[in-house]
Amino acid sequence: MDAGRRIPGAMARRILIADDSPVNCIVAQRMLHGLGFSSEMATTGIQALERHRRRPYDLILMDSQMAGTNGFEATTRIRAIQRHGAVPLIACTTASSDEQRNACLRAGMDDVCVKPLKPVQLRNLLLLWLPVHTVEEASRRDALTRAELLSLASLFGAGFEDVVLTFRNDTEARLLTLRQAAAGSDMLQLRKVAHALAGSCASIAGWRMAGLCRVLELKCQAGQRAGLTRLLAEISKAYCSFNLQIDHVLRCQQLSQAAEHSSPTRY
Amino acid sequence: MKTSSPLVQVAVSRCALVIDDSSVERMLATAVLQKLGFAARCAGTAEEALALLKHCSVDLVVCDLALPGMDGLTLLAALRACPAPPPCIVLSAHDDPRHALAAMQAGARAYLVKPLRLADMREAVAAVCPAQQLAPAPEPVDANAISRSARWTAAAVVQPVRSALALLLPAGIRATG
Repeated sequence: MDAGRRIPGAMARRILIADDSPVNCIVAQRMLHGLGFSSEMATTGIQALERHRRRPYDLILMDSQMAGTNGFEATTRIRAIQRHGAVPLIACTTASSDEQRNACLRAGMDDVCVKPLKPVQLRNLLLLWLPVHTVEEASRRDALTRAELLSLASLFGAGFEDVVLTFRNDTEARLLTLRQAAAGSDMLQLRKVAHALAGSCASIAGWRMAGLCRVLELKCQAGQRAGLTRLLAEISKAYCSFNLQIDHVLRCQQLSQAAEHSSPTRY
Repeated sequence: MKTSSPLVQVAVSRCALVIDDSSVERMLATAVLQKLGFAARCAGTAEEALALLKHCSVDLVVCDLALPGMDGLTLLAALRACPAPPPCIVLSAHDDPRHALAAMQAGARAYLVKPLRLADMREAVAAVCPAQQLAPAPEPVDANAISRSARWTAAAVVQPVRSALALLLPAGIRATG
């Protein structure tokens, strides 16, 4: 059970937790350990910067309000030494206000999570922001998605096909709306549709799509137009690969229903 | 109907109304409630829900906060004005105490963060409308405040925002295990 929660390829990743509260650091470290990661801590922004400069990390969880060099400043300086997007920087904030979130994104952070951290939330963040390194890792991640889809399929029973059909119709319409809104720079519409799409994806275990849509929503909210096209392309790509997993699960369900139907014990 | 927990072993199937504008999320909530022994009805908007409630009564209402037209909070207020208001569980994408508090003050008995999980709904249903209570006694309609017991119930089921709620609610709810 515990091994199932581990993220494939976690052992090969280095994560930095930058937070001036040792308690917060230890909590985050424990959670990361549970997911299979080893992590290091930094208690100031300057320390985080130095460590990352010496040996780059795969991902940094950054408290936005540290004493001394705060998270925003450290982010700006990390971004200055590296091309944007090189290391995923995730802001951890206590305030869930829109202004805080916007400030984090504008400072150059990629995503925002609200403290207290929750294992499921952290897990989805890591799956979203740590790119797969190997084919094996990718297929193990797909297997995790299929396992979740299978449990949903058993909840819905024969109705699962209907759910999939509805999901596909809704998603395709929404993806089209997103592209049109992006072309017309309609940030309000983009944000609204991204929010709706994130919700329906999360409902049926499309975590990657849900995460990307959430990032799109955050970006629109912060008024960041840069990288929107790439993000939309990523969402479409995630939809295609999620669809493949859905197909797989649908086939499994049909096969098991057929087997049940033709089972000799029935007669 | 499958009986998977002691909660659902009731002879008369109870009826729940799901209000959500997203069809996939509505389907998920419906499937979860059916699993818990409810016969589920659906509405895509608050207006549709209120029209439906005029000619049929339900034992539980499960609604989203962000709805097109009339929003979830207004719907909660409208439901409380009914002669025998059914208990309401709010299902929202907002994982923060601000929204949870607003929903509770508008009369929600539980606040669950999306995506919905069967275990969360089972716990909320057990707290909000236990199976043995077939005909829920009509609660006193109090437009200004929610009862202390309702707040307690609420605090017990609002897992993700419980600690934050404890800080915010003036009654001083302790975070219970």
